[in-house]
Amino acid sequence: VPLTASKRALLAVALFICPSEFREHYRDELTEAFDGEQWLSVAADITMTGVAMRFEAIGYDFRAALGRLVRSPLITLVAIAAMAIGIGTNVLVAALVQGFFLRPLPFDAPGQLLFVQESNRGRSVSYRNAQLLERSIRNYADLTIAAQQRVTLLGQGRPTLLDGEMVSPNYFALLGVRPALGRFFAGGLADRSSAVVSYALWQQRGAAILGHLIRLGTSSYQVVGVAPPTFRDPTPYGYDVNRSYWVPVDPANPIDTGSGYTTIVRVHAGISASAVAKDLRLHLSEITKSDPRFSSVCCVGAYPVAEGISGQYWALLMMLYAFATIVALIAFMNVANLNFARTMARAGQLSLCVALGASPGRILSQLCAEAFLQAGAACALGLLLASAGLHYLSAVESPQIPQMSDLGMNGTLLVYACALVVAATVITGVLPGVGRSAHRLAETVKLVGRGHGGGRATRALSALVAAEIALATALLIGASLVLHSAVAMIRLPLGFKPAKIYVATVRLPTDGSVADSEIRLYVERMLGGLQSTVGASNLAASSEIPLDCCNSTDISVGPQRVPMATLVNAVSPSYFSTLGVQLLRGRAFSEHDDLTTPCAAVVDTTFARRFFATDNVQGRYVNLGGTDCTIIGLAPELPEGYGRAQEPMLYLAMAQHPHGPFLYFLVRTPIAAQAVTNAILRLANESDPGLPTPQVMRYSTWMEGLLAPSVFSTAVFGTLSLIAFFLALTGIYSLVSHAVAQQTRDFGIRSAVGATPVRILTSVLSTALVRSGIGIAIGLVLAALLAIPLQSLLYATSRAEPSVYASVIFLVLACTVLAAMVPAVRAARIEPAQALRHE
Amino acid sequence: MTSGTIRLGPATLYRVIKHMVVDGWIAEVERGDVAGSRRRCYRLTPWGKRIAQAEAQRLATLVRVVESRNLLGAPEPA
Repeated sequence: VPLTASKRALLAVALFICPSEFREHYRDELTEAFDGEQWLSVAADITMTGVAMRFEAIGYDFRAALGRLVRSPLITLVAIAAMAIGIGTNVLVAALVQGFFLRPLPFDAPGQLLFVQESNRGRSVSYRNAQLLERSIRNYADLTIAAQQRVTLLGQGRPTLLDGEMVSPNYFALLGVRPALGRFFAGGLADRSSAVVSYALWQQRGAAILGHLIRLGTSSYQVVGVAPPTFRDPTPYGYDVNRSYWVPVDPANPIDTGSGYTTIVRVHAGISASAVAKDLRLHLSEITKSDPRFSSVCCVGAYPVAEGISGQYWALLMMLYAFATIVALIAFMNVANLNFARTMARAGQLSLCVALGASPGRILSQLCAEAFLQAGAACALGLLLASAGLHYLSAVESPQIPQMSDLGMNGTLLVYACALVVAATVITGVLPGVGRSAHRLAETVKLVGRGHGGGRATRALSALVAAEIALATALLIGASLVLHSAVAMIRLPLGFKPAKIYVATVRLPTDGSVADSEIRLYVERMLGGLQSTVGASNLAASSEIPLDCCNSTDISVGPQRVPMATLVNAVSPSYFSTLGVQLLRGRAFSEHDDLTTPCAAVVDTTFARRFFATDNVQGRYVNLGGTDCTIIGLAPELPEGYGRAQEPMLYLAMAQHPHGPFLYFLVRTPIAAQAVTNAILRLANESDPGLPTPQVMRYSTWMEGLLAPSVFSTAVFGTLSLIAFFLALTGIYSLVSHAVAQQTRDFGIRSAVGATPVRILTSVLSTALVRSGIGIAIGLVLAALLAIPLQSLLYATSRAEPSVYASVIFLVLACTVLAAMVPAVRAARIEPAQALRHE
Repeated sequence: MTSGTIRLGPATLYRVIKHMVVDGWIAEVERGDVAGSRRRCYRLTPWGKRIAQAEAQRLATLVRVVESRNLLGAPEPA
């Protein structure tokens, strides 16, 4: 009686679970057994037996694979190490990507939060415009503002300078943060003199801070709450972890700071944030159009808070991720190469298995077991490497990247690592099977077992190696572009002489609690004292220093009074001579440029050319806050920062202008660092014990600090690309070795019929060069694609920099020749008799 | 043989048979006399016979030990 369709289907499924050879051998018997009343229990029996046999086979494959791996420990270790580097770097970068971009921000519904900016400088909004904007978007969004402030905390012991913020009363409520202690601002008049302090300040000052009065600069505040320990202020430049207090903005007297207010908008629930962002941009451009200060600036913007906080790392991390993935890919392909050679070495054994009836699936399963064991071990090692890397990185707490301390291994990363193991198994286990199908693998094995098929094997190896070379070339070009950019930064023409200059930095309160006259007196005492104590030939004070500057200010020139932005630096008379800078025209400031004389200004060439279209600017006027300043000199451009476009610079006499948030003393002296530091600290203490202690550093050390991120990223990209290149070179070496081993007889015959060793050497090398050439050609295309996102990380370097491309091509070709040379020389030395005996 | 105490599914049975064939305990023999039958016949190999004897010996020893200790108890009345 024929089986019904459903029974047939059930039988087919149950049989499919069994290994093929068992299924084929006993199909009739099992079908017959199925055709009875007990068919259900028979189906269960077949299924269970099938599963058990599958596990048995897998267990056998794994035991055999382990035995094979242990028998060739060197190759196994090399393979595991290569893959561990690939997996480790990949997981490490994945952890960074996860930490920076995939983790939700520590605010309520962070997707509804937007930063708003009204110009391309400052990434902020002026108080007036923020008020206008708040009114126009009230129906569908709330707005809050915050501006950085630095004040002296008085009252207990020595005065301390604290960084804090003036915020709208709804600041914490809008972010959705709950206090650790007490409450946040409730709004209203009563809260005008309330303050919230940071968890760290509370810990420092003792438990009984709630309800107490604290004196911040010139005002007193009652502490009403303590922020949670994990709270960090969101700013468009990343988190800020240094805030110690928050006080409400006084609407009657809003201090419109030069850099404006960080403005955050929370879109009401149920409304699309992107639609509101578009709306905000429209509103803001309307508002700024009516404001003469904005006629010359561009770029109003509204963008997600997450983008502002982590956006600056996006390009860097994505590039790192691309590099790490390519390194992993090359490592896997290299191991695939090794495994392929190993598979071919035991082709005889495998073809015997095929002859005895082992299905292609069984052979593939054996190869995969080996690959899986290697990948598993590499994964364990790679995870250890990644954990060590994360441990190291999380110790590097930096104000710019505080998320670092949150990094660590977690379940998602382990799942990701498992996915990498699967990818590694497929690439290193299935790819060496050469075939698009398992049958093709069996055929190849049979062919190689019979001494044929070497050509096919070599072709497969060649394809793998060309791919490796292509990827490594792309990485090398990417890393060389980053290196080129770092070198351009290091070699940036400074225009001044930083050698033997020490910088003493003093942080100043920004709330007006220290009068300008006091600061001027302090500067005079310091400069006078230093001259007699240190005996320095050059001494200066300034509000900014080259390479790490500056705040911008609106000025106007000419009769139209059109506002324009410029950087400003208030300097003492000897500023230019201390830096070793010669003015191009006119004179520098003198002791006579003080409050009793008209305002004087020195401008740099960028300023002169942008605003006056000429270098001849002496005697012209610059209007600054309603005061006309006469230009008395023209200075050369001094770099304002690494990787920054040069902006116009206006120098003012320190004695004629209010102080900024920083005060720098520049001391050029041959005296030893310790003596200079001691002299400065002693003098500072004598001159004004109320101001914070200066921090003294060599200018060169300061510059190294500024260059450190660039040097670090160059080192990371460079290391990754060198690992990739080294792996690709070992690939070339093994390819040529394999090809030489395959063609030993051939070389013998050619040698017997008169081919010279040089000819054989050339022929082997040319094979390697052709493979390498194909790889390089593909690599150049990949590099051109990789360089597009890389451009944003480059300084003074074109992504198509010809010298970079040319040197990488030369390097890859030269190293290819070197890697191929050893097996090529071996081929050239083959004796005909020896070659003919070769099997 | 076990009066229904032990029930062996066909796949379990063939898996055991396959193992015994691979280990050389039994060997399949051609049975041309039963036309159209799906039945397979196996014979015990000399090596299989030695294995079977050893196993029977081991079980017999076990039974003797069990009996000497009276672990089976008195047979239940019919």
